[in-house]
Formats: sequence, structure tokens, C-alpha cells
Amino acid sequence: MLKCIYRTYLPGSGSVWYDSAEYGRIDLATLPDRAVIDIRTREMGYVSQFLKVIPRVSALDVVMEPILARNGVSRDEARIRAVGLLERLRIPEHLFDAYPATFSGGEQQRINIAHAVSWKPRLLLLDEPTASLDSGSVELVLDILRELRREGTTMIGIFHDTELMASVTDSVFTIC
Amino acid sequence: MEPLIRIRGLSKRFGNGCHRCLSATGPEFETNMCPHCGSVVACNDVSFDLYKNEALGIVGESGSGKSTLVRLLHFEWDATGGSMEIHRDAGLNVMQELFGDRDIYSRNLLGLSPFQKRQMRNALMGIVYQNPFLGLRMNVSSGGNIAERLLGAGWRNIGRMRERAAELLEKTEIPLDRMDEPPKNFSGGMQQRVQIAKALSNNPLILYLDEVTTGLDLSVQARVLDLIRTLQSEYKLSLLVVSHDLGVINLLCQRTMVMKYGRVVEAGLTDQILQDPQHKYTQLLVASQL
Ligand SMILES: Nc1ncnc2c1ncn2[C@@H]1O[C@H](COP(=O)(O)OP(=O)(O)OP(=O)(O)O)[C@@H](O)[C@H]1O
Ligand SMILES: [Mg+2]
Ligand SMILES: [Zn+2]
Repeated sequence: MLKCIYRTYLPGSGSVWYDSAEYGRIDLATLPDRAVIDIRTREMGYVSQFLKVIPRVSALDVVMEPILARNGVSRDEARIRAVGLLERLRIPEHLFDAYPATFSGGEQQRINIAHAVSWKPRLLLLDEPTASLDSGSVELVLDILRELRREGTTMIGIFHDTELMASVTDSVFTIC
Repeated sequence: MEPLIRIRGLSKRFGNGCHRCLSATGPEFETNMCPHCGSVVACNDVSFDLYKNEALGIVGESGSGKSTLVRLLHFEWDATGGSMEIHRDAGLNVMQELFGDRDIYSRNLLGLSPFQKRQMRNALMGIVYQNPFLGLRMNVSSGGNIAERLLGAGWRNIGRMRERAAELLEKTEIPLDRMDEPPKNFSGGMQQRVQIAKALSNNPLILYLDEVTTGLDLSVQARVLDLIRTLQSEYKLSLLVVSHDLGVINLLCQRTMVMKYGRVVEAGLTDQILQDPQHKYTQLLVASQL
């Protein structure tokens, strides 16, 4: 379902109504490709279960890239924001300029989350964002997600841990 | 935002053709050769838009018409039919006469005279071929290769051309002390980087990349792809990326077209093409590269 909303999958039927800041009420299921790219650039983020590593791009650059591409800020400003986020997620400083390909699963996933939230999307889709994290990191991530929500981001997330889910969500939709 | 260029109905046939060529070729017939007259329908009725600073991928098996498409769009071959139009706001300062008074898009660039096409190519496009022999003169120095291109684009001052060549070679990570060496002395990855430097010399808006990393070692491939990504964002280039390799397409392109026997069988977001391919052929292609 999340992939249908993000349009990585083409829905066979049905609609995905989204109230876009840019376009108004639109059906993501049938929106032309270019408009989907535009929505992904301006409004809609996606946190996959695992980091998709781009070869030879440093952790810091992975997190800075969406800020630079979207928020219209200087390199220095983007760097400050990205560093702040990495520090909050307790990524050791010596990893900032290293390539995530060599990171542990938990570190990679924290980079992945930092990448997805760094530009403060309007709608954020989360596919088990905390599944590969230890309990300490889970709390850090949930804190960031709560903060994003306070700032106005709408989120749809998949969680297996029902207790954890109850602590961050307003409503739960169950698929059997 | 409106597209930088619009391609409509682009077609290329080799041979005289007959009235049954189109109804007897294509993916359903598993051939691009007309059984009635022997003509080859290398590509037929290809339409797409290319936006500023986007990378559009073209994938498809050998012989599906990818390079043909690039050669038509680079004005190397004459199309059998179709059109290519450029947006008025592209920022071209040549040939304002191509635009009607009120028109947002130019007239069909495929119908220009050879002289106008040369001008348009110099103002608009760069190309990098899989085979560096097609893009470079192997016995002329690397700097000279670039200077030659600049001469063709109307540059005259030798000192400035040398400066520009040095700047581009530096951008593409060729050590400057090797600028006076001919590309035949270089490794495959370096030759591709000289080709890229040459293709960028005239500040193009559009860069055609035809299998630029095929045949290179993986680590060399990665370096060339890194360079392309960096240059694309630095110069706000529109890329048309032809590749067999879905990994290359996935790394560079947000949208992708799939070709087979001269036809586009599927077009979509790259992640959708890879994770939810619609056409049977695309499904096979993706499955074969997993
Ligand atoms: N000059 C020509 N005369 C006749 N047929 C040609 C000519 N040039 C190309 N073709 C045919 O046109 C078809 C498309 O060729 P093209 O080079 O565009 O394929 P491609 O998709 O780039 O393949 P590859 O992945 O192998 O590079 C092929 O069947 C080819 O044999
Ligand atoms: Mg080819
Ligand atoms: Zn025929």
C-alpha cells in the first residue's frame, strides 16, 4: 500500500486522494509521472526498510542532498542542519565523511531516516522505520518523528511493534 | 514547468519501405525487419518530453533502436518522420527565427538545413559514445580534441581555448600534465572522461550518453557515473541516458523508457519500472538482472 501511494507500484485500480499544497486535490494513482516526481520533490518523502546505498557518497552528503535540493539554503546551512540531525541520532562523528556502505545495519538505517526527514516533507511514508534499530535508537527516532508531526508533517507508517505504534500514532488501520 | 524539448512520432526506417512495414514489425512480431520488403524499422513513433535538469533513461535489448534514437536527436542521421521542438525559454541565443511570434515551441528542428543543424547542435547538445573512437580523435592531444570542438563552435582565440580545455579536463579529473597527450595513451575510463570534457565544452543544455560505462571495470564505471551525477547538478544538464544496465539507469534517472524492436513498450518512473514492471518484456529484463 505504501508503495502504491508513493507510486513505486502502479495501482491496478482504485484511487489515492491527496490534498497537495502545490496541486490541490489529486489522485496519486493516476497522476502523470512528472507530477509524481514533483510531488516527491516538494512534499512526499519515503523511508524504506533499508538504506539504498549510493556508492561513494558520504553519510553527511546523503543527508545534505535533500536539504540542498529542496530547501533552497546555502551549503553551510544545509551542513549545519545535517550535522545536527546526525548528532541527534548519535552517529559517531568519525562516520560523517565515511561511506554508509560499510556501516552497521542500525547505523545505515539511522542515515536512511535522517535522509528522509532532513527536508521536512509534508507527507512522510514509513515502512518499518525502526525494525533494524536497537531500543536506544528507536527512542531517538520516535522523538524526531514526534517533532516532525508537531511541525505539521502527516505520516503513514507500518509498524510491527504494536506498543511502539500506539506511542506515536493517532489512528491505526489494520489489514488482515 | 514545461518540457525543454518535445519529441513526437520519431521514426527511422532503413530501406525503401512498403505499406506493410509497420503492421509487420514490432514487439508482437519479434522483429524490426519487414518480411515483405526487407526494410528495417529501427525506431517507430517514439514520443517523449525531456525536462530541464532531468535524466531520462532508455533501456532495451541489443538492436531495439536506442542508439538510432540518439543519432536522430543528435542530427547525425535523418529521421523518416517525427519532430523535435525546443522551448522558447531554453535560453538559446541563436536562431530566434525558429520561433513563431507567439509560439512557445520552435518549429521542427529535424527539418532544419544542415548548416542550421550544426549551429543548433553546437548551441544545445553534447554526446558521449560507448566507443571513444567515435567521439575522440585518438592521435590528437586531449586538449586539441577539445579545441577542435570549440573551433567548430566559432571560438578563435587559441589562448582562451587552451584555458577552457584545461578547465574542463580538470573538472573531469584528467591530470593537467597529461593534457598534451593523445587519448590513445589513456585507459578506457580516462578516455570516457576526455569524451565527457569534450561534450561539455560548448556548455550544452542536453547531454546524450550512449552506453558510456559499458565495458569498463566496475570501479572505473563507478567513478565515471559519479562524475556524471556531479556535472549534471552543477550544470543543470538534461541527460538522455542509454544503457543495457538497469543499475546505471537506477543511479542516474528518475524516469525511464523501455524499447523493444524499435517501439517504446513502457515508460514510467524508474523505481516503478524496476519494482512493478507492466510489460512482459520489461518483467523479463528486470528479472534477468536481479
Ligand atoms: N545503417 C543501417 N542500415 C540498416 N540497419 C541498421 C543501420 N543502422 C542500424 N540498423 C539497425 O537498426 C536497429 C537498431 O539499431 P541500434 O543501433 O539503434 O540498436 P541499439 O538499441 O542501440 O542496440 P545496442 O544495445 O546493441 O547498441 C538494429 O536492428 C540495427 O541492425
Ligand atoms: Mg546502441
Ligand atoms: Zn515493408
